[in-house]
Amino acid sequence: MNIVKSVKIEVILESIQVERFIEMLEEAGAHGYTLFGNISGKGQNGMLDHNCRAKIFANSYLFTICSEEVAQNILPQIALFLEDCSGSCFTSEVNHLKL
Amino acid sequence: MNFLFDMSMVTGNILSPPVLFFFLGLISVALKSDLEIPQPLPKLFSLYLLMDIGLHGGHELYHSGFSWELVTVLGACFLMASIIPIYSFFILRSRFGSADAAAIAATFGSISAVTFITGISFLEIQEVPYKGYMVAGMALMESPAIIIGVLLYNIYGKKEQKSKKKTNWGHILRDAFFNGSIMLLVGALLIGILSGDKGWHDFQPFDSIFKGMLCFYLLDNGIVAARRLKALRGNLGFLLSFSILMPLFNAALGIGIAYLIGLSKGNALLFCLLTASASYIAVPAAMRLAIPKSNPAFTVPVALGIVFPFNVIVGIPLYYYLIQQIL
Repeated sequence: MNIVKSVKIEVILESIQVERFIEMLEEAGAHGYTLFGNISGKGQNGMLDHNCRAKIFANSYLFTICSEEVAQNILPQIALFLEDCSGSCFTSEVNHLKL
Repeated sequence: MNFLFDMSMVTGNILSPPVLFFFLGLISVALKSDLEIPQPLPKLFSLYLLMDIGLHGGHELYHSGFSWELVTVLGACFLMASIIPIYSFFILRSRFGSADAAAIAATFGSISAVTFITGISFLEIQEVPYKGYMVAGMALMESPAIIIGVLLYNIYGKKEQKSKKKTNWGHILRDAFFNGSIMLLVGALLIGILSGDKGWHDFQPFDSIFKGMLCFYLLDNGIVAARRLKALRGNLGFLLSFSILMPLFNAALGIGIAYLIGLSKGNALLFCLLTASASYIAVPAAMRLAIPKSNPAFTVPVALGIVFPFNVIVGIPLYYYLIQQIL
């Protein structure tokens, strides 16, 4: 069993921005991610619900696990990305069980 | 000229099942009912409607061929889609920043396919003929407004915000010309032309459920419109006035152009609806991507919550009445 200390980066952002966000993430060094599309919630921009054909009001949740070094590279770019569109980013230290 | 407004046309429109289902959607939200059409079914309904009218238009083009009349209609559609966002933008800038003004202006420059389809349903009830090639005009009108909106923001908005970020025109052009609605509409139009009578005949069972699908779609539209309208608090007075006066003005321009280029009454109504409607799916999304500072809480509620019901309930019979008087 190999447990590695890693950084978990979680992002909630507008679904229409996901494609470009993933492009940015991969260019910044993330090797993979998990995406939950069409989620609902309420934040600074009011209620966002996925139950609207206009994809513009749907949010997505995405997380990636990476090394501290890669996280240092990714986070400034996420900050830049989220400057323009609504979204939130959280980071935490996690134990990653590598199989 | 008969200036007496034919109320039976209005009641006939309001009492048609698609419009009544739209009301049902509105009422269900007001009564806090849990009525809901599960996603992604409404998306399927919209794809079906676009496919059906695309194929129908293509089939008509297969018979009529390309004519000078078609070129004139396409030119008029392109002209209106290009100028509406410009004057809308300058009116909206009196109240909003350039980002929101450009995004709302672009939604008015573009079109609502479902308003167009409801217009077709109205013409069929009134037994007024129209040409399927108007669908080509609709496809053409969706994109220019996005380009004009972004250009207006680049000229006026970037100065306001002193932004040095470069516009990614590749993404914008892709969103403007290859978004899902346009791909399906233009694709179905071409398939309708290529497959001819045989293709259209095979498609008939699918076409026969058109009204039912439109009812489902408008029911969902009513639910979404009622929910989204709440977001306009604070700007409701201005946006309500703008969203009613602008379609009326655009429709008047549309009728004038239809008169000048000699459109038939049915085609004139459809052209008029293209000029008077506002996009609530493709354009708000494209503008949000192109101008992230624009607030989608304005574009969608305005287009779906005000312009769409106004056109469907009041606009269609009113525009047709004026067309009957003038053409």
